[in-house]
Amino acid sequence: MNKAFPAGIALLVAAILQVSLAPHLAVFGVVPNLIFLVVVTLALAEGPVAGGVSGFIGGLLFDLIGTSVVGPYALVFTLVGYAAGMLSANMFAEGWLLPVSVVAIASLTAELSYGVVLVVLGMSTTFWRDIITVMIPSALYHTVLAVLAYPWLARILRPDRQMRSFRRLA
Amino acid sequence: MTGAGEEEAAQVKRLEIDTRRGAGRPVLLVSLVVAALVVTTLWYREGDRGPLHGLRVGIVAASQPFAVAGTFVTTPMRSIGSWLAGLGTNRSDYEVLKAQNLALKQQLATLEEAKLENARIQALVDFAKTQNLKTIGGRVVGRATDSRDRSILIDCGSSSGVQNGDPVIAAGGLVGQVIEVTPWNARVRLITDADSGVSVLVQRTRSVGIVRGSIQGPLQLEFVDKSAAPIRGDVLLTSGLGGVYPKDIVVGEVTDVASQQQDLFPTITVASRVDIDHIEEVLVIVGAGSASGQPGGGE
Repeated sequence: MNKAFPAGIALLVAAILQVSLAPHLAVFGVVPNLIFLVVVTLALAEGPVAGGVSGFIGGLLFDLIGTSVVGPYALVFTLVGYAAGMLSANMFAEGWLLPVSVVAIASLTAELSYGVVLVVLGMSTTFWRDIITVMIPSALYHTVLAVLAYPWLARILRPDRQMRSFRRLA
Repeated sequence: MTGAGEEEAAQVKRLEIDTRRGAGRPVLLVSLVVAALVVTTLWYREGDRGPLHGLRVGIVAASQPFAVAGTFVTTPMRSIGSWLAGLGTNRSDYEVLKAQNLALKQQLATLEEAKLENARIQALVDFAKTQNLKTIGGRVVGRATDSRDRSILIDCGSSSGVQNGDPVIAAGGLVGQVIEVTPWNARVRLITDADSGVSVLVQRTRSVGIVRGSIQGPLQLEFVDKSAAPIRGDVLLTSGLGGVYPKDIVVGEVTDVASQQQDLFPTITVASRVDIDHIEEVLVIVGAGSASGQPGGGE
């Protein structure tokens, strides 16, 4: 319960920032997904269970503040959050490389999975074009943001460990 | 030795915690996936007045103050960026008089633009009057939260008379259609959205087609016969077919026409006259939108 509270607050703050700040941080039409960054950080900090649960809640929030169908992002973030948690526990990488690698892989996977879900739901006919115009740019953008935001997010979401440097975070 | 033993024990404990933390729970994962699928199904099966739709409307209403605050907070930063960009230009000039001359020319251009804009707004108001349309002015208070989404949030809602499906215009022409309404605000799907489709006719040739948005940005005119293909500069107007948008609203101008011999229809790129990414004020046409009042992907 103690860990659920800061996680819930982090997701709520991320949702508020997603509505208020993220649209103004768009680069060439690519809007950063701050909720996704929190989900992956939670997955890295607490493992697959926290990643899955926060992915579901965060994805549902992201669906609800958007304009498309409600549910697909909840599905995608659940799977990606869980997988990111598993990946972090089994990945051999040190220092900044771990979070950056996980965010890059998770972001690309989430974008591709969401694209597939849209195709299955009959809501997208431009999947291949979206890979170049949306998916890869989003993954790159999230990776850059992860370098900047992860140390601070992890510090807040994982207070049980002394973290003095970026290297020690991972 | 005791110190080393304690450290080793602590390391083992940390490893155990990490192992527990890294352990997955497949049943939980499956439950969450099923829950997400149930939510998606519910969204499709429930009507516009279902609980999930209601929840979204509530969240849109609740998020408006944050969207407004975000716009307010980021405005100075955007202004500083513009100022710095302008400063760089002036520095590169190195001639004060030339810079002043340039500034004056810019002012003149701005005044000209304001004059033209005034004329366009007047034309828009006249258009609304001639079509006997009732319009409501709205300010853009929020923008899309997703890269795939092309929508805006405006500060007028059902309490002002705005309804789902109402067309939205600006000084340069068509902007989009209302897709969600709360008492105080409304979400507008822009014509640049990939799900948007507007029935149009080419002003010069009167041929009919569909203007669609895309994630990439430019609008595409589809389903126009090769023999009646427009040329660069042709103006596109709403056709009025389908009953969603009133007839004769400017949608944009043709900027490129490409056609291969094997293509059934030419690839026609269209540019809106509205600076949709930076639009700040709009007019909602109330009471003249879709007959059903339901928003859709277009016409």
